[in-house]
Amino acid sequence: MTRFEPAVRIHPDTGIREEVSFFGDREPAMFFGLHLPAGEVRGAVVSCPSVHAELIKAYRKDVLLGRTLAEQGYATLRYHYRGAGNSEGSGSELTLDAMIGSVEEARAELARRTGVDRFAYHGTRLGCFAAAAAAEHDPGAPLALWSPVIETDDFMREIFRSHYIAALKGEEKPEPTARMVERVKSEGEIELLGYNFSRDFYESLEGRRLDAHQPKGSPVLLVPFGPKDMSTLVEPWTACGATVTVFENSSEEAWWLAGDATKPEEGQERIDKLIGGTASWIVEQLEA
Amino acid sequence: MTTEAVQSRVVDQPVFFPPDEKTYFGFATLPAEGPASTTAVILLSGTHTGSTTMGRNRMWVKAARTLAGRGYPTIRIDYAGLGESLSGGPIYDLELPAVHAFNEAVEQMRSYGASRFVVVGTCFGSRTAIAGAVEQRDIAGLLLLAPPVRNPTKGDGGTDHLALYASTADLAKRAVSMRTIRKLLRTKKARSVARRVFTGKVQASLGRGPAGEGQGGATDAAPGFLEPIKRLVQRGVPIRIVYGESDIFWTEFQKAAEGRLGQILERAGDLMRVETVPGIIRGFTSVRIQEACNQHVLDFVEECTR
Repeated sequence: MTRFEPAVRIHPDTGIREEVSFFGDREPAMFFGLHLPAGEVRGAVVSCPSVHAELIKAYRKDVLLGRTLAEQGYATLRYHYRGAGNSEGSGSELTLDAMIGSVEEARAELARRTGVDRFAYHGTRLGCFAAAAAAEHDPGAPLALWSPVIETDDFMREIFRSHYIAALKGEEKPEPTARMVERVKSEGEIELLGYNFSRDFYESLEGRRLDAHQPKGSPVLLVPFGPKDMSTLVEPWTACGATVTVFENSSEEAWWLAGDATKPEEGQERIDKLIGGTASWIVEQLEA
Repeated sequence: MTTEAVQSRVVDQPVFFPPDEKTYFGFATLPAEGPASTTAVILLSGTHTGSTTMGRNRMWVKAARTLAGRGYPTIRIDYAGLGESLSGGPIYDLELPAVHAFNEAVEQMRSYGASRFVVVGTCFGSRTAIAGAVEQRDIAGLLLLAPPVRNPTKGDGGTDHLALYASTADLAKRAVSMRTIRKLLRTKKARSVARRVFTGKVQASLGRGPAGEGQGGATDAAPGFLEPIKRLVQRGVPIRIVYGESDIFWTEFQKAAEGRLGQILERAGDLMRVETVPGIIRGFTSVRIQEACNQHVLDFVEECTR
């Protein structure tokens, strides 16, 4: 893609600089949103989103987290993976391994922009794999995870189930999951809930577990959305030397069911608590 | 054309606008070699949570890149309170469309050399499109994808829609199904829904609609839809409306067309065309619908610039 100028905004009240542009070691380039504090940068956070419906659902929360951290002196870089969201590239380039592989590029870009060498990682849903993998290679780096996907097979099962239910309500005959799995492998692509899933993406998600990445020595914040059991992460990560905290968050999110927003997210008590609690924890860990 | 081939011909220019306040964010997708057309396209999404620049399955990203690849500069925006935009946006009410954001998006595209505009909107974006287009000169055309003609007052078009468009026999059949009875017995909310449908049905049969509806009866189009459409027709702006055959908004449109909307349609003649595609457009829940709608967008833009 031909180059462009970055979009830059400086908040008149706080002096926070926001920049939206593209980055990456290679084509296609990845979209990023960068929040820089007005004064000295005290630390930096790489925020790894999910994909498809989950990317859209969490988008504003990620922006609000970046703004809150910048107000406290911390830079945040949010980005979209190649072939996802506003990034360049087609969906065929998107795999879990590509998501994980891109974090180093994001970290390097943030280091280049801030001069900081102490990072924290934030992930949402499937993006928690990218964030945890980054923390694994950056011993002691704080890791904050929103509604983490713990097992990818469960993640896909939930999407297949939601797709089946949506099809039951619609006009087309629902297709059994086994048949869809067969099809994605033989045809190279299937559609689930209006999103394209390529064979490479699907296969990259087979049998993956978040606890395969071990953030040794890292403080870890787990934020379930609703009453979810986190013990399958707490136990192995505590055993590997991480200090795990589970944040109370009763607010649930129907990640794959789109609905029209009727009011902005900021100002909602549950969102303020999520953003404020996560930002405070990250700041505390980076200052420790 | 492959995504890579399209991308090599376009520039996705991120932009905060207007230049002084920078309230909103958008992507102006521009032809790399400079615009082949002075007609720009404004894409206005519904208020899907999070961000309104991408759309489901990146359909607006793909649409913008395809249009720019054909020479049409295109902008897709985040309303206030969404995506990269600043906060301070209103509640997303169909009667309070984001006209300020729209006007500023138009000005932004003028700064890239555009002088005429095709406006594409869906759901909340379609109300913004018609309300905004009234305030702008140089509107080359308006394409509305499954626009709501009424103002849903509760939920997802559920209770009011049932009250107004389901026959009494249908309602009776639903009410006596075992599943419904179980639901009614189980939850307070379900009892409240049933009460609202019943009350709504009685009001509809008496010719009274929910507050804020048009004056021509319960099923008439809302003023926020009717009045600007009327003015655009008077100005001679080409309007294309596309529904899915199974959209509840299509049923509501047809019913509304029996009232004052019908008079406007009649007066507009070929200027205002209504088309349908199989399935449901609202929510763009299938790739087939996404592609069909994006094809409608491309065809309409080309038609408006011939």
